Amino acid sequence: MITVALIGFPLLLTLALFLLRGERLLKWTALLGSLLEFGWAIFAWINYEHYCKCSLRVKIDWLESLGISLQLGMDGISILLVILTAFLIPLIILSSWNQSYTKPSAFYGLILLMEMAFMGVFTAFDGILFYIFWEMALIPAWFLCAVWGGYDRIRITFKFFIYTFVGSLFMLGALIYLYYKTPIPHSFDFRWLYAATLTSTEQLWIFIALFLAFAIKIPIFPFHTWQPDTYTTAPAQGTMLLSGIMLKMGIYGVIRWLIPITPDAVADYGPAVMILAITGIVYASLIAFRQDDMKRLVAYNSIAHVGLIAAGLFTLSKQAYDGAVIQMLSHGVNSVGLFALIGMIERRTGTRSIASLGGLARQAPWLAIFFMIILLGSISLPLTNGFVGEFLLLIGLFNYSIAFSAVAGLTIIFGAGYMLWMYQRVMLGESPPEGYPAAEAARLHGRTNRSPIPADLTLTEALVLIPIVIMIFWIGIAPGLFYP
Amino acid sequence: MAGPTPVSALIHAATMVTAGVYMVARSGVLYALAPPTMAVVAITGLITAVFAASIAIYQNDIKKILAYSTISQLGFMFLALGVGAFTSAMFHLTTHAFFKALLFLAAGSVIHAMGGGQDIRKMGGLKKKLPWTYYTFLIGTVAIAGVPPFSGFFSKDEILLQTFSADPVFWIVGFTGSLMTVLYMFRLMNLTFLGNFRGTSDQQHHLYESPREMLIPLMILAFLSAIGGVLNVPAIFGGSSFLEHALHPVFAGAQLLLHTGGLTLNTGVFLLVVTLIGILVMAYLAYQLYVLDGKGLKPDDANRRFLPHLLFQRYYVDELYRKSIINPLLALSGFLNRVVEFRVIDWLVNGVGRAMVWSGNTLRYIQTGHVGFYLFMMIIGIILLLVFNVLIR
Repeated sequence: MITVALIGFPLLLTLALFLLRGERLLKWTALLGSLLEFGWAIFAWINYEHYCKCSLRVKIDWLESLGISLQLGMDGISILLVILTAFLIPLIILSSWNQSYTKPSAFYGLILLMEMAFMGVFTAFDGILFYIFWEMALIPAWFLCAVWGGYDRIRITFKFFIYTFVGSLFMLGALIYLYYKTPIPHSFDFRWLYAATLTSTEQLWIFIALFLAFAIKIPIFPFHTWQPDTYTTAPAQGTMLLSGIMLKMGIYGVIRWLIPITPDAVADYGPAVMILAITGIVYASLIAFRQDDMKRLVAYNSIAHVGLIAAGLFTLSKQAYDGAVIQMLSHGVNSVGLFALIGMIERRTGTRSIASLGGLARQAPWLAIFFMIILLGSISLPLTNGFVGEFLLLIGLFNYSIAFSAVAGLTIIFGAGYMLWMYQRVMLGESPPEGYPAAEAARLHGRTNRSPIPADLTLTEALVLIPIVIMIFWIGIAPGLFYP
Repeated sequence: MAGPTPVSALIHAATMVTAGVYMVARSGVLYALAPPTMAVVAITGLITAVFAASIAIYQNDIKKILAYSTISQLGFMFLALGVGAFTSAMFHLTTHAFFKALLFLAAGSVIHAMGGGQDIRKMGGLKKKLPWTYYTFLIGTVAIAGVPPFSGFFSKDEILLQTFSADPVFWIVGFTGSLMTVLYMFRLMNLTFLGNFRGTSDQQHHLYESPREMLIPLMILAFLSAIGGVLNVPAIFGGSSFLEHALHPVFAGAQLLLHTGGLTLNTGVFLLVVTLIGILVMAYLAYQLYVLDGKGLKPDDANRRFLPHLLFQRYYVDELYRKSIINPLLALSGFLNRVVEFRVIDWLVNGVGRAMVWSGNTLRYIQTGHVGFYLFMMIIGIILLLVFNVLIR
């Protein structure tokens, strides 16, 4: 029942939010609700039985004649991703505290609806149920980007939707094919699907279909072109949801489906996937150097990080597997932190363009400190969370192929290069002489009580960043708790 | 170099830059097992020592000279590692920590007195105003130059002796490097502390010795720089080679593999005398050039002959990096961003969409609305099905 409540509660909250009016009330309801959900997730963690793969299991018959049931449960990875989701959603809501969006009830409702879908994806133990939640996560994401997005949002979100949707359809096709290969009586139960007997040709086709779905979602080079555009145009909260959590769905899919269902094909074609992923790491890192929009830069940085996770997973080694799970958590925490910071900078200055920023550290020292810590986590400095995951992943890759790990290791060097360079140009040096657009706008609108220079962090902003920084050090110093 | 002076002192003396020396010494056995790597380390060290020392001769920023001096001294340490003299490398690392920290902190005292000025062409004659800084700096200078009995003499001489026993050619290059050390250090000291003051009169009025809190660390470090050599005085000077014995367990494995041959006493003494004469000549040369002749004060934009110009521009290494790494990297990044990302990958992705739209636009003409045409298409379909059915069997 714990698991059902995890999914049901955000849905109830969503419905409640659509009925409520008044921005303040909505924000408080969404925040407190998501905090309750986080508490509930912690409770689930406490009740989780480490030695049983079928922990917190629920099975309700649904379409029995087709072998479809409402089957939920959690294993080690599920529980960690559930915790990650429940941890990040309150922060994402809190990061919007000082902003006011049009149609707030829809905005916060969609965020919570997305949380519900994430919870479903990470706990579903039935193929069709998984697919339903997988697609359900896409709809709020689409609305968030299309309604509250920025420049050229309709074209970009349309492409995002179709691209990821086409990938998912391949997955659906593969699931249905698998269904007919399961032992009689056919069922979409995970264990039945795992037990499906496949010839090597069948495995290859299933592998391709599932890989397309997950590669687009992760995204692995060259299926990534929707990602930078979408991250850039989405509202800050949407970007955080996409990069912090939604991206993990693809990796989760690889762990949950691709590797167990098509082990022979993974063994045969894994190296090809690894080459793609590693190419993507270098490619995205190189592109990141020349980005002017901070959001775009972090988007490419994200591609490089998940490329390393994907490459590590396909080595099928224990270290890389542990590293992938820890790096999933770390990347979720770090990218939410980075996008939150970019949102804060944009709110102060009215721009995300690196070329037109500069010298912010002098005016907002606390912002600069938090930015630095999160950035160091992102570039895998030892004792931060990024190091633990990437180190394990690189060890796994190294045992598989020294050449692969050497090229993949470039991501750390390049990452340090472009991220620190961005920090230098944005936070250090001198402020632009012509001032910032936001300060100028405030002056023009006669809001003279607001200081013309960007001010330091507010309390709510600090409350968003402090848990993130705590997690960066916690995972970095004592990662033991986060091993699957 | 650009950091605050105490930070420079810390980084250059003890922490970051010497980590590599420690690392190689620690992994000595690995290097000893693969002799070509030892040669690579030794040659890299030699090149570094001479390369950085030659640059230091033509620099004018007090901290920059010291920074290049650090690089040069690191070269000596790597030379020692490369010829298998691990103990000497660690010994020089230790004495270097003493006098380089001293020199940086003394430079900090000078910069403090100069109100932030770091250009030694604008200094001169500070000896009278900053006596304590001067004398401690002097100790640092003679220590790094290798004047006996200061610490640098013992450590650097040992490296050179070991180098000679490994390969006399290496010794010649290393010896040249150590002569350059004497030249640039005495140039630095002479231009800073001797002669007449060349700064503004405003600065001249504010020239005061630094407070006690700044001087006490200088004195401690000067003391250590002076006597640091006792850590490893070799047997020929009646010492006990303390460091040698202390580190013996660490390097025993590597030493066993290397069979380093010893030098005869005569050779050792001969080399020692050559080195001492070299130091004296260079120190005199520096005094003649920079104090009596007033050389070494050329402004930045003055015409220089080829070699001085090259050294003044630091062999254009920064330019080289810019042209060979940074610019190509940024160009590649721009190319990938503009061309590959949008014109190739995204074009293909969007191409799928375009193909759908195109096929929809094309195929809709088949929907003519004439029942006869539909029947005709149906018949063709049935025939095709039958044909395939036969073919598949």
